[in-house]
Amino acid sequence: MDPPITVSQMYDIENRGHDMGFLKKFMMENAGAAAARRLVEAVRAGGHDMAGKRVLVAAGLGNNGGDGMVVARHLAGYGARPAVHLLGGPDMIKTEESRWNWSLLERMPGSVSLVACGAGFVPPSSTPDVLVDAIFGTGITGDIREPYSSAIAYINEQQGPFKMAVDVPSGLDPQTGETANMHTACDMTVTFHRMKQGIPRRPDLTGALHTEKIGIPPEAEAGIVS
Amino acid sequence: MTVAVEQVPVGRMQNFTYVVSDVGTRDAVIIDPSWDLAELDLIIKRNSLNVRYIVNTHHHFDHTTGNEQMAQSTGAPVAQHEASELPHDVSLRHGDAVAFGDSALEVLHTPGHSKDSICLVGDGKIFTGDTLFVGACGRVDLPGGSARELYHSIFGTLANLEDSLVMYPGHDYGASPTSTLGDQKQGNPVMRPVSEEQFVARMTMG
Repeated sequence: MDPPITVSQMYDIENRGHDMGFLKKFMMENAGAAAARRLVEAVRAGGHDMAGKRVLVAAGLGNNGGDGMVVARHLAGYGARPAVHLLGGPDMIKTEESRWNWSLLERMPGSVSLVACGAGFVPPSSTPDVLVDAIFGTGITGDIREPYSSAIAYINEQQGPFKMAVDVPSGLDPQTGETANMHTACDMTVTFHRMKQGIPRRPDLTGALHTEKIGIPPEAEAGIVS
Repeated sequence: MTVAVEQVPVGRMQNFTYVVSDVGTRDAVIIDPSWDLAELDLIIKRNSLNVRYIVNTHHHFDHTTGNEQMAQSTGAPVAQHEASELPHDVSLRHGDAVAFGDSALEVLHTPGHSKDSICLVGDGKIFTGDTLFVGACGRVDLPGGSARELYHSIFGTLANLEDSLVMYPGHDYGASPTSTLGDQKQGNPVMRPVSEEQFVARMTMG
């Protein structure tokens, strides 16, 4: 395996790739697609089929949430019944890529249900089969507060569902491996492009760990990764 | 204009630094950079932001200590109210606009906590610095502070703004890290309508 890189290197690589014309929108698409495929495989390995499975995606307002939105769209194609719980209002989504993905989901009322949370996380009426943690993809400064805290608490309270973290379990700092005041613990984590240094330090939180390439041209690493 | 706000808790005095970016162009301003500059660098890098201005809500050190380093790393000029005692590249006045990409924040001069205190308003948001906190307001007993000026800033300026404005304060002193101006008009004791004399008496008591 390639040696893990720093979070700062990862951002540099993404920005370089974006400037080369491989837009972050495409990286997000590939990331979400790869995570969805890993999830389908994991569910199959457990002797189940994705079709009909209720999947709750807890999505933050940044690009980690956007990755989760892509996961939901792909899972709909596998016949699953995804619900995306956005942790804030749609107008609070922070990036262009994530906004674009949310607007796509808004055109899929028959296959994906959308819940926008205001002050607190709105739990579903019945326990889902799968939980996708797409809340935070970065370390958190300060304490995790509402509505993120109740979403993380909800994920942690569920015993039955299979739990997948997109990029990194929320509350785990992908650079330092340190945790915030709360964090999720997942069965599987799918991170992208290359492993980041802090993630493998907490296998108890990540569960099975996968690194998926997302189409970033190797040339985007020139001068960043030796 | 659509702006995204990163509220970053920094330092040991419960300060907030803000990274405010124009979603379409990725042009940004940094408000009150202090202490945890590495975190700010990561946010800038993660979102590939072009920082156009560093803006301080007032000159106190806990809101400005990162100015020099951020100016160096981003090349952005430092903008402060013209009454600020600190060196700065751009002098702001009431009614000025701090423009970045397709967005802008309007400058409201709101003295009271300090002579050079400003609030910044745009895209349904207000950055109140130490003029107004969630459930409280800034001190008026420091040099340049004035309860009388704060009264006029609150009741002459802030009270007239729309209730729907999402408020981002300079410190994390309240029950929640953000609020709305409407909620503060309802629930913040310092926004409860009183006469100027009553307000001054209350603020200078104890």
